[in-house]
Amino acid sequence: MQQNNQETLLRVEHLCQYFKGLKAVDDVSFDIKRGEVFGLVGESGCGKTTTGRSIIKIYDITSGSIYFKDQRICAGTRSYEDAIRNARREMRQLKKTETDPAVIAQKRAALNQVIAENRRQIRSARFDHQHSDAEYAKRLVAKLNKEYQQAVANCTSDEELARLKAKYKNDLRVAKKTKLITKIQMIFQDPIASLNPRMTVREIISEGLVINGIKDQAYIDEQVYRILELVGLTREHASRYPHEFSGGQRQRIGIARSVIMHPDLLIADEPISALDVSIQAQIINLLNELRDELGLTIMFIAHDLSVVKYFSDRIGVMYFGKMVELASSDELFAHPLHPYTKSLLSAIPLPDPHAEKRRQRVSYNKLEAHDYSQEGPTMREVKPGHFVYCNSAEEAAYKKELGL
Amino acid sequence: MDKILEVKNLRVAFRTTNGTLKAVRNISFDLERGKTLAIVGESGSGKSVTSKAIIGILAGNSIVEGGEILYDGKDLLRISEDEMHKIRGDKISMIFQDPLSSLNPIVKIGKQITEAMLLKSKTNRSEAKKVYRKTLAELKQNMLAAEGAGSQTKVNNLCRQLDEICVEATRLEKAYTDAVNAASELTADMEDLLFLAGKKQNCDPVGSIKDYRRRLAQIKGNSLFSAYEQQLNQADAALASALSEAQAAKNQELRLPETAAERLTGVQDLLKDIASQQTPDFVEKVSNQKDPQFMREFMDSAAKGVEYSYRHALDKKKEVLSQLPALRSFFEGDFTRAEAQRRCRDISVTIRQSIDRLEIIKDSAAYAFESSLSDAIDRFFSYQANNVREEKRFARQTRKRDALIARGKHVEWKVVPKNVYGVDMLRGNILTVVDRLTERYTIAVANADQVDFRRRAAEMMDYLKQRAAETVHYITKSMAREKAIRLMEEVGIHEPRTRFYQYPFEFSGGMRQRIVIAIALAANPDILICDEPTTALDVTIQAQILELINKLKKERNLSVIFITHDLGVVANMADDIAVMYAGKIVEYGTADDIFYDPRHPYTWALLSSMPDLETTEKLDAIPGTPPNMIYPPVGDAFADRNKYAMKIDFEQEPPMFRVSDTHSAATWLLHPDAPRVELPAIITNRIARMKEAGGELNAAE
Repeated sequence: MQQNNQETLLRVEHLCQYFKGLKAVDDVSFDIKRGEVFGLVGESGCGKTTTGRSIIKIYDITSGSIYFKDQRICAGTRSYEDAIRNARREMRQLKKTETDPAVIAQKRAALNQVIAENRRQIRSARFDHQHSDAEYAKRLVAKLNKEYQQAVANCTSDEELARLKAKYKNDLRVAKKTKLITKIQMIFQDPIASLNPRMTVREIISEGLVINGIKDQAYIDEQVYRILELVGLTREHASRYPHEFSGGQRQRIGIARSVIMHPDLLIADEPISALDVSIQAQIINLLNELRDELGLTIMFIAHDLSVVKYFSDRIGVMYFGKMVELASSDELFAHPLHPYTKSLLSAIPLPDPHAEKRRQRVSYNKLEAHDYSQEGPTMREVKPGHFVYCNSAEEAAYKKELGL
Repeated sequence: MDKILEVKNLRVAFRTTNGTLKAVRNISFDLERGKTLAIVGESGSGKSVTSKAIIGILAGNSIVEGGEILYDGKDLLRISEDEMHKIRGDKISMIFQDPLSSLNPIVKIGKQITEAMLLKSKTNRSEAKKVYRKTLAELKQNMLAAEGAGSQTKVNNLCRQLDEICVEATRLEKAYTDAVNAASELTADMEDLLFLAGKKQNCDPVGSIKDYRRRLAQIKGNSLFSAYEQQLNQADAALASALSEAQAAKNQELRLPETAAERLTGVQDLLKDIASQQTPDFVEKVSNQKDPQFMREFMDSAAKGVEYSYRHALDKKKEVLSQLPALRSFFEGDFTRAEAQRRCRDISVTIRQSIDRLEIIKDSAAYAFESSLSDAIDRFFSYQANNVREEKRFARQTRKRDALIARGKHVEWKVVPKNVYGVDMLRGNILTVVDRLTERYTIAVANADQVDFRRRAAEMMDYLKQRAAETVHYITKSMAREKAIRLMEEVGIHEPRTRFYQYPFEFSGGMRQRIVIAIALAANPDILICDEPTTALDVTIQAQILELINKLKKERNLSVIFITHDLGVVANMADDIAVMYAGKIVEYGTADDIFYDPRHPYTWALLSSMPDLETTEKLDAIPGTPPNMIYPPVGDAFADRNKYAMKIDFEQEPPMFRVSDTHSAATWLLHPDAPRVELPAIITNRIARMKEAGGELNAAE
């Protein structure tokens, strides 16, 4: 299943998402390679859904940047604002601490430079945040123009020229309306709440295409039928309403709706939690097939660890807004290092009565488990590809545990 | 192991506009004391309907077509709502899937936990009074009959005297209970003070301790507490010194010094000790004071009364027994409705006389005979194929609908389909009622020689005493609060004293579920039904809740019915597992049987549709959806989705095949003529892995 493709599709850097005083996501960094399944686990309220929603720009992030296909799509300004504030405070205190006017002038100049730099960052962040889609569209249009001019130059007959012109016109309209963010699609947890009860399945699935400026009804129908068959439904289902379907079928509709946009990244936010056991397996198998067929990259958010283990290539563990451990799924389950990960793994119920009777749940208490009075923790790479949130003392202990 | 709950041949259906939906089709299982039974299946397999039938909260459009649920000698399907009311919540409690929907959002959780305790305290008292009077009157009547003519004055005197003694005893008991309650309230209030002072919150130690001394003096004043005089004096002295210490520290930050706090804790322990003493037998005490001979005299007479009542009932029982075979053969043949009802009424007269009213454990088979039988007869005629009434109704509605359509109207309603059941099944229902009574009475008559009437009379006396005492026992608000706080601690809620005054929305999902469990446990039930208690929760919380249920089960010797669709969850919990599909139990066995040696294809499918930590193979999803139970499929209901289905699966329903003493499964694959089928690879691999892991660990041990 694992593809040795090292192209980074999505990069999240120092993502912070605060809701008033609540730090829902606090300084989270990770990247997702093209073609892999990235699992995000943690208990409810730890910020994993918020992370997913921030990536797809449902929220405006507080601080940090998100790069998709090497273009910054989200950026927050809080960290730069903080830097400016600190510089100003320092400047005010310069006179009290220093006496030599030359030193003061020198330091002031340095601080002014910091402020200017951060201001530039803020401007750039705001621009990227607002105009990432337009920039992307502009690039697409430029590319299209270039191709068209080439085609026109190579063209010989009038007939072909007319055909090219018509195609160009249509493509240009689509390209102008294309948004980068539509290359990221989301599947929601509750298949009942996420489908509009007043729209037919055809309308629901084709809505994205219509918004994107496609007007050719025959093309839309063809796409809808193709996608419906891809997700295991039939053509007849297109004219029905969501309430006529069972839970598993509704989730398939949700998946069809997101897949029709040919996304590069699919964010699956607990897609199976609300489903029955037998249906869960159907949906997991479907996602696996789609991934192979369409070359999808999937960010899989769930709290059922056995499913995440089965489905993901790499797994990030979140705890209260922080990413505490990040490793490939086999590595994480074989050598969990962070005490929270250990406690999480020890809580998985297994379908084995004898093993269950012996299973000891490890409890995790943040204050008891760590001593951060001397040195604060950061994300450190303990082993190639295995990151843990710890300080240097703990890092040494973890390395010893791994026998490095 | 004794069976605490037996479900036999339960059949439940729902009437809907599209027809009758057969939700539960003939299931049977036993629940043993202190054990857990897990019911596993997809949604719509009837697992929740089964549990709702047990506690009698089926929806209004449900029809219990047959079967029985036996608890404590009673058939829960046939007892009256009043009786069910006493069992539901009190003896059998239920935890629902979504904790938020079972809590009232605008009532503080403390109130929600104590509500039932306070209400019960009041109803219990009035109930006890009623029962006491009724039983005494019954006893008196039988004593009169037993002693024969001319003994009227004697019996009257005896009964009057007993009543007087009981009244006197209850008066004493009330005083005693008052004092004990005052003591427990005092401890509760002290706990509050200690808590507040410990948190350095606003409190008034000096004023409070003064108040405690006053209340302690009142308790001391109660003559019944004279035995504890010395201890109470000690407590008073401790309070006095605590008071002076608190006064000295009046203006300091910590206004209750630690020494004083320790003293208060000491006093608390003393009071708790006194409150936990066994209540003396006041009836005994009073009767000994008045007339030492009286109790013996009364017991002699009461024994005679009990014996008389028993003998009288036994004769009638024999008479009933002689009539029952005739009744049975009557119902086996053809009969008309009027005749059947007449026979039912006739025999009911004798059966009513054959009930020994002085029996403490009532026999519901006899009590509910008449209503069950006439109910079954009614059903026999109204649900039978080609019965006149149903045909008429169907014809009338069809005619009306057709006429409307003929006039070109758009008709939105449908004709309710005919409610039709096999005659054999309906007749079977009637015969079960008769057979059950025959069985009970045969046993009763056979054991007639072994009855010890003196013991029975003594039991009767104890029963009366208990009821008399119950009329004065009550729970005050602050006692209920203490009890609730202890419960909250038991289910693992930290700082219950502050949590007590919070609203449900201030709790996280796991904490809410804990509160629901605390409410369910408040009445100290025998059976706890958990309907998917962890489906809405995530892994760590799920593990905590499961551990909690397991712990409580051990501590309180609870029997648990655990309903879930996740087989992984039950591996730790369950002793026995019933796998349900389309309203039937398809496989039944111990946890080891189901996980290490599954036999039914549906169990295989359930096991292989969920990955475990080592799974790498493609999952075996179950194709399709469960069948529509308005039209239950012929043959095996699972055949359509079963890749191992054979031709016979589509034609004939498989019976339960026994695999071992504890293990059985309903699949034709277990028939001796069936071809051998290999388990799916994903399961064989997993079992091999589990055995290996188990082997290693066993060797290590």
